[in-house]
Amino acid sequence: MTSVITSVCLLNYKDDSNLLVIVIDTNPFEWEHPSAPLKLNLALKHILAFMNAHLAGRHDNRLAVIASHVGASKFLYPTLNEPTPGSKVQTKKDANVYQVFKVVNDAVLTGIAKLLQDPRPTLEEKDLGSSKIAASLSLGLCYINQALKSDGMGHVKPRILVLTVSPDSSSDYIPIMNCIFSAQKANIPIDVCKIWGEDAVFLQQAAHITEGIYMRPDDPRGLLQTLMFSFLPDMFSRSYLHLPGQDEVDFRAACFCHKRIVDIGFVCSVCLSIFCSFSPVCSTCRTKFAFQPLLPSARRLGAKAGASNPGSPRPSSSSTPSAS
Amino acid sequence: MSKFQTSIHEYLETLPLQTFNRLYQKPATCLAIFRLLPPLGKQIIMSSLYVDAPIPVADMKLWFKESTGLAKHKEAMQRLKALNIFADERGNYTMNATFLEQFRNALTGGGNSLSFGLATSTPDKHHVDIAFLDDYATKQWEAILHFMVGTTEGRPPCKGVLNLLGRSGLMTGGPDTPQSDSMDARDFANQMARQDFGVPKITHKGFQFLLQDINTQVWAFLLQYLNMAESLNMDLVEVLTFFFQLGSLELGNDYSSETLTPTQTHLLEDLKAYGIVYQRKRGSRRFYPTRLATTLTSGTPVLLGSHTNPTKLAATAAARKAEEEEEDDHGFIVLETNYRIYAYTDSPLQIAVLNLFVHLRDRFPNMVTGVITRDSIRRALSKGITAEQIITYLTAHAHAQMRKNSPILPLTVVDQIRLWEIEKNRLRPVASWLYSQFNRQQDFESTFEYASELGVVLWSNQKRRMLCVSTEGHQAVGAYVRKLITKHREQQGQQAQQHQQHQHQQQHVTSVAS
Amino acid sequence: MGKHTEQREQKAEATTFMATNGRRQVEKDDDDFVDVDDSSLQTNQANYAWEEEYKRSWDVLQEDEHGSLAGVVNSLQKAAKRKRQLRDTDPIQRGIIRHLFILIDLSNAMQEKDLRPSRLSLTFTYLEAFIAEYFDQNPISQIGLIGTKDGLAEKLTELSGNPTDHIKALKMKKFMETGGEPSLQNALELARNSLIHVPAHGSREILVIMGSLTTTDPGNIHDTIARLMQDNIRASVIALAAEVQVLKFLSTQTKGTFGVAMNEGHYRDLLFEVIPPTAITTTKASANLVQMGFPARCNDSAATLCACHGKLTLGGYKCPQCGSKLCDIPTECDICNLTLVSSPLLARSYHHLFPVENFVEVPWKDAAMTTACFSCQKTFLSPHKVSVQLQSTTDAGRYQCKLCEKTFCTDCDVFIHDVLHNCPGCLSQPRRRAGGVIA
Repeated sequence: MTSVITSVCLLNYKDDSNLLVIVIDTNPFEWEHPSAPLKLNLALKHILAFMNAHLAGRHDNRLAVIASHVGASKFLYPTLNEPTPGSKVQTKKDANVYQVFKVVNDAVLTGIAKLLQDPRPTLEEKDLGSSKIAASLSLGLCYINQALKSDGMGHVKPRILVLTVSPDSSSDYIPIMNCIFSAQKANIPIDVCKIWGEDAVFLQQAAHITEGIYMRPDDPRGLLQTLMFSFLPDMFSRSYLHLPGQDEVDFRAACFCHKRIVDIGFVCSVCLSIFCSFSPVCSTCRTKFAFQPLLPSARRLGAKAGASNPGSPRPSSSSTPSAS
Repeated sequence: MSKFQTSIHEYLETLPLQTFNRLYQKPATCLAIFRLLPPLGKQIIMSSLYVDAPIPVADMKLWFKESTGLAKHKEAMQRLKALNIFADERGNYTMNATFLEQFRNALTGGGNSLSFGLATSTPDKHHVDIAFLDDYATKQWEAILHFMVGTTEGRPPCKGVLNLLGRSGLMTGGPDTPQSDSMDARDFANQMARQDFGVPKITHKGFQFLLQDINTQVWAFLLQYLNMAESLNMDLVEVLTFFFQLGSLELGNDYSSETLTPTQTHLLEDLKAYGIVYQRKRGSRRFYPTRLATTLTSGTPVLLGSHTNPTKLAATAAARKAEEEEEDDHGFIVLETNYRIYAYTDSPLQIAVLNLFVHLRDRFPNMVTGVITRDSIRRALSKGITAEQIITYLTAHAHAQMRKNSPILPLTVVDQIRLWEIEKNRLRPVASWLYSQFNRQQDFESTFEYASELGVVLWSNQKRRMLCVSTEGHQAVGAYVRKLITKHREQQGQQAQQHQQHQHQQQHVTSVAS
Repeated sequence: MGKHTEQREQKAEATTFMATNGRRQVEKDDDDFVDVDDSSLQTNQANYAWEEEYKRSWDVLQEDEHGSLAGVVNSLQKAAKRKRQLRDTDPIQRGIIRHLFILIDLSNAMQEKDLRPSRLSLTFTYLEAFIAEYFDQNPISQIGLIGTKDGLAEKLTELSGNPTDHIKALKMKKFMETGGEPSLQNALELARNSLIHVPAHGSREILVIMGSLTTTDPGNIHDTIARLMQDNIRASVIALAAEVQVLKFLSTQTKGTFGVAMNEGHYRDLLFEVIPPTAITTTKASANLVQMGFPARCNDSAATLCACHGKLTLGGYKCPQCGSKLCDIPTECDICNLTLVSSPLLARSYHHLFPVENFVEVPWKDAAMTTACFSCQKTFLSPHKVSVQLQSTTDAGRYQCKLCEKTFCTDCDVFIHDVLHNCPGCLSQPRRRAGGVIA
């Protein structure tokens, strides 16, 4: 009898539909950089095929696509003015394409075209932040939250995939971390594909903490194969497959004062803000600090401390640990 | 769990390679067949779709986790090979070239196969909306089911349907006629069509059919149609292609019937009778798929229009609509731990189905109440319905309130229904071989150990040195015993004593209720 | 819980406890009732669990004049929102590196069934949830558990930052046994002895969960309280039976909080009030900058010695200062003494520092401006479809962020403030403020 019951459970597990939220980094400064190994329109072809592959997997698989642009983040699919499938006035039908694919693909392509047409972000903004990954993740999480709420029966299995080319934007550190923790709480894995460039430290942490997959493909031109092989399997399949793991995770943080990414920092004992150099007053909580920072290293190792961090001041020869 | 559900897969697996190659020429068919695969099968296809070189068997094994994945991998590959999607050539897996090309086309929208349905270029003068289509599909399909349960609602279905009912063994003639399995289907169909010998009766298979969800029912019907198509000299590939194409169409849109082959045009006529497609009049240049058609390849239970709320259908975004339909669902049964059933339905069909295994008590304008008793379940069991089917039916139609529970149905009731079934099947005959009169305990034990390793022991008794082995295991175990005997003979050659081991073939009876 | 004054023969100064909740206890008993300020109780009008009228959950819901429950449900949601708004959103100083000892009474008084299923099992159930939530909100803080029974105090767990250790301890059968009388003084001294060694930048706190009305102490409890004050240790008390003067005195003297659990729900509320980082209470607490390292996790192909245990291990964390390998973080590097934490652990608490501004409700008259929620794409109810009558009783279900002027639905509003702590609208906008330039 037990076998009967377990088989029913297994069946239920398999029956889960997947909600995939794809965040596409459309940062034009990176995509149109002369050294970019892949152009956006070519990459989009790969991504569209991947989306279709996801939708092909199950009839009730769902998809949401969010563009993370410079200075803006918006939904590409579903959008609000999406035509009703029942109505006659819509994009011309193509008998060669599965209608579901077509609706999504058209929405994504027009959405991105609209984004790129918009007046170029000024250079100053580019300096201030690359693409709005944190905003897109927030949007995605809200969308998933709503989808799970309206599902009710707990059959939808959500996950997020971030396709990014931009370097870490350290001003986004706290919002990204907030996203990571809400995703972790709700058991939503965040997969990250850094299509080229340096490892994205924060997103790497995101994948690590939420048990998602982080990958930097060897050859960006084979993007589709990477996507199909590593990022398509849903949570059910993942329990049976060997997928790329993370050997090394960088747990570095960004300091609050200069937005530098640091590996040794000064932490305010009151509010835990991270600073790369000593300052007498905490800029976050306005606590006045004792003049000498607590340098445990100074007690034992003398002047060796802080050598790896150019931003931090050299500790003076003897720091007086506050009496306790 | 039932023969209906897996049948489309099984049916496909019986087809020859040439048929597959022709089937795979249409992207829509590739997509539909892809969806029928187990999750890991899908993943294998996707992972290797854009790998141009053949994949060594050993390499593919490395994709899977040793502990859990390999069994799944084997299972998935078996299916893929049976469907001729993959072939094993000299230690490499290669994907069927046609499938590869057309499936890529399906994903990227390339090629020019027009397999996803050609939309009509002009708007229909006689506008048809989704509510109408749902209504139409419900009416047509329920008419068939009504006819099966023998309610007088609705007009009797047309000849083609009756023919199919008889052929599939879902219904049979009068009480005197033998089971349709054994009688000549054609004769029966003729009789049925003439309707000259009284009211046809529903068979055991028919009762089981009623408890399936609609999607399974539709497929069961279509498969029967496929079987019949061969005898009617219809081209199988064209029929199958059309079925799969229907599954990829969009509800509420009209499609042109001009590109259809003559076979498919003929097919359209028949499908109209089942409520799978709608055509305003015969020979019209456009047709509308109904919900029965668009959900063919989805693998999820469909609901019929009678339970959908037309105002909700008017919602704007497609995603929202799908959600609401799901919420709305077709759950109407509340089952309590005290075996009472409350069914919020006024459909005579649903009530008739419930009546198969529920002792109905009261009927109200919008609901019926009843209770599940030993007698009512036994009555159903005696009709050939299994406990599992009843439980599946109750689960599938559980009310939204019930779905919040986990498990959905009260365990007491589910267990009791199973117990009632087991109570009925206490004894089960199993053909087997009995080994007895072992002279030495070691002989018995080593034989027993050997047989257990093979997993063929049905029953054993240590004290009496008796062992029952299934027929499959007999050959191996027999050989083992013979080897033992010869070994003993060699060892104890000088002693005249010989082991006499007898083998008896017996009809062994195993108690299952334990 | 009859006699509330009890003299223990061992010590002359056996503590005298006074039940002074001003209700039943006093009427029934003799006259050494001491009038203590019980304003904390008066603010809460609810009765004790055993005095409560039989309450039906559906009484709370009342249909409006149209027979619809929508209005009621709405107002319940609003109430929940109001509660959130009342919560303090100022990014004031909070001592986030906390050291907390929980003193659990394991005396026979905990077997009382006035809190269902019993005081003890309810306490253990709540503590499990408490510990999980505590570490969620105070990631690099530490907890220790102390139990007291038969006049003795025993450490159930040492001060540590690993929630699983504590939860495992709570599940152990042997700690569930009760006996004799508790000893408040012994337990407080035990906690104090452990807490005086923690660094000055962390807060030192004690939470006492007391079911008994009496205690068996070896010395003068007031001396202990004085020592606690001197060492800057806050002691908060949750009494399960009645207000006891010495407990109240303890909490007021050490600037802690005091509460008497009236029913199961109230008990939980009292307990969970301890979770948010408390504002720094004394000016004496020396705030400082602590140098910390954020090590990278590494996987070596060959096993190497770790600095902490001297064992051969494959993976580990590399100290960014001296390069030695450690098995686990958070810890202090054994070689160079640098505090090593994982930056995500720190980041867990940042939402306290930068809370999302509360959104303002959009009235029906402005509702036509927006059609859908910015973050989840859910379409709003159009004001044209809602009758004026209904509009007066319901709200539009739209909430606007004052900064980015984007509108959100109720679900997203709750999600953004309670879980996400990011405003998607503000993040989606081009940054305007001129900040530091990123390298």
